[in-house]
Amino acid sequence: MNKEEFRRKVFSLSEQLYPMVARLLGKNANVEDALQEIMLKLWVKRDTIEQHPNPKALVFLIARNFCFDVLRKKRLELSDSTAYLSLLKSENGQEPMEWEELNTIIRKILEKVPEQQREVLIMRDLDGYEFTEIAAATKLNVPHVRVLLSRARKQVTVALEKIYSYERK
Amino acid sequence: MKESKLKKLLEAYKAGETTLEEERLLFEQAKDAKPSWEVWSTFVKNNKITAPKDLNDRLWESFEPKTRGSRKKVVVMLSAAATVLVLVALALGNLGQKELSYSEKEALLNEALELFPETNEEVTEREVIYENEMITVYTASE
Repeated sequence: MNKEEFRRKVFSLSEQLYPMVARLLGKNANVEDALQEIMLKLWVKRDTIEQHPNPKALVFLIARNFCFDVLRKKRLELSDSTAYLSLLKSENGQEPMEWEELNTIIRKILEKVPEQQREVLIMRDLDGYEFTEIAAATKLNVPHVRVLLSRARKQVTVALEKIYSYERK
Repeated sequence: MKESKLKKLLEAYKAGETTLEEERLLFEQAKDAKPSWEVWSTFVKNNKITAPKDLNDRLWESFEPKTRGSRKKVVVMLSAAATVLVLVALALGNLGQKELSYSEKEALLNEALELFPETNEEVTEREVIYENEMITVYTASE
């Protein structure tokens, strides 16, 4: 794979990787520096990537593993999607009080969702990843991802309906 | 969006069967749905992380020189390795030559010694002037 092909096939995924890397590394991380390091790793492995049956999947997996390695090195307590929750904003600027309350409520609901389901839900609904991309990053197959996502969505919906239907009355 | 369509899409959403495009539509139409859905879509919108503008191009500008650097490094490493190989080869070659020249010397010496057959049986008296492992200098009277 030459430089131009690498730029087109691999490097162009930087923007797509950005939300996942940002969430995994947390608030204080320099996401762009991390992406540079990920891309250097991928550059070294460019020939392996080229021969891989699903290069994009390999890129997502390498990026995710890189983030976990960084977190391990920092000796942070690691549990996959607890890290994923760490970058939820605490205010939106317009209605801070109302938003803070809503955010706290949903955070609590999400904390009750099993980790794997929560990660899949955030990757899909907040970061807008395709099923194939989520499957690649989490080393699951697409039907399994759909099942996890469905369970998470149902759990969140039921919990929210309980709270907000009472409020309506 | 019609209420029936919205309801259908929401069911598909819960089953994990909607496409990203349908999900985008659902989040946009949140105000027409139940309050719980509106709350969820507000949360989703406010917590989205999007890459900064032109990230790919900007990152590439600082990344590209590193790829050149790594190629240079490889060239430097390879030439260093080649130099070491050449030096080792020369050293081994020299050692080999030394050993050969010693054996050659030995052979030459033996050859030279053979040129002096012991024909001095008639010599009766010898007075050694100098003697070492290789040479004996003496005077003799016939």
